[in-house]
Amino acid sequence: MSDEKQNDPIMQWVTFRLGEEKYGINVMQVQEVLRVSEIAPVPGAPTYVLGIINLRGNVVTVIDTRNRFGLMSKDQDDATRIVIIETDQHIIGIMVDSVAEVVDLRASDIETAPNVGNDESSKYIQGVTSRDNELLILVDLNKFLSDEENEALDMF
Amino acid sequence: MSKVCAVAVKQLIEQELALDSYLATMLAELPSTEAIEEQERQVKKVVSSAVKVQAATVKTQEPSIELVADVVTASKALSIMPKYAQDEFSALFFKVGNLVLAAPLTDLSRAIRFDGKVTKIPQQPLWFMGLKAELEQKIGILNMAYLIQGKSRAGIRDYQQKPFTNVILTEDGQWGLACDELLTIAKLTSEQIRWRTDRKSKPWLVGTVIEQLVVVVDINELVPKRKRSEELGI
Repeated sequence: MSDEKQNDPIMQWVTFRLGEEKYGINVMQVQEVLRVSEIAPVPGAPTYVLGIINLRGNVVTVIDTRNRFGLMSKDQDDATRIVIIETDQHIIGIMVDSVAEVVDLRASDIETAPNVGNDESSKYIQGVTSRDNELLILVDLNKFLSDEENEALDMF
Repeated sequence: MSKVCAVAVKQLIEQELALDSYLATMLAELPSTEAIEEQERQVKKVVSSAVKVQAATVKTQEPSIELVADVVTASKALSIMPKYAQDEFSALFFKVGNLVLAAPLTDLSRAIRFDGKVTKIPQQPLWFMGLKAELEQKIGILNMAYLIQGKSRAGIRDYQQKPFTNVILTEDGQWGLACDELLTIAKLTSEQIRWRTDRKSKPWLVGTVIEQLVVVVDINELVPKRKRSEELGI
């Protein structure tokens, strides 16, 4: 039994929605979930950067996740949230349509998503899994931004 | 070569040229205005040279080297026939838009009704519609119109108004090709098909059922490999 647990560990994922789809991110990388407050735009910032927020004295860059995923933009509403995450390089905020729940997933439940695009597109898609009759897309936050994009964030 | 034989070969070639023309029209991307003008110029050129060739043929009534070359091409086609075509084989006939296609059943696992609901994966090519969970399997659903007709034709269709209604699954069940109506399953023999000898371009297009003008497709070749979108330009 313990062998089984070691070989097939359970991980927790925070799920959020963007449009029709549900995504999951590793709970260990989520610091907190915020309601949308004032976001100060940054002149000359890339289109996927919404701006910066002041998080208890720290400046945090907020990423437009819809833009990053190639989705149409949407007006913010009561359900919109900024998820503060910690990647290998930065602490950033990602804006999502809504945050759903925390789910437990076995490693064996996660399948590789077919990548038919080029190397750059969707490299941050870690896998997919079925849950409650829908597919959950799991995002690797460490690959969410490219090296160049991470370098660009240092300027804010 | 006797006169009767020469006439028969000529008819065969005319039939094949008609097939080529039909396929080129159905499968080609929509040309730009400049391309149409250029095409018209080329057609005029070809027509005038064809008239000259015909006049020469009337004079000589001798079989040309081109005819012999076509006979050689036909025998070459026999050598590149897929394995399944060595005997009579069954094929599924289906539609993508107005185009009727046939796929050998040996390449397919099954066909399912499609409600259009897929999980979209971010930043994938236009021909990748998304993932569908079916019997504990995650199937990558591909837009067959994009794969066959290209962006210029497939991009015109309003998929909300006229969604695909069926999906045919590859033999391994990993990929589903979204299409319109499923027509029938019929038996075919290799003699009924004109096999393509050169498959460098459109390798999925293996031949044409001559009588019905139906395109025979290799489903495995139609499933794009990684980075194929760049090659397809979509």
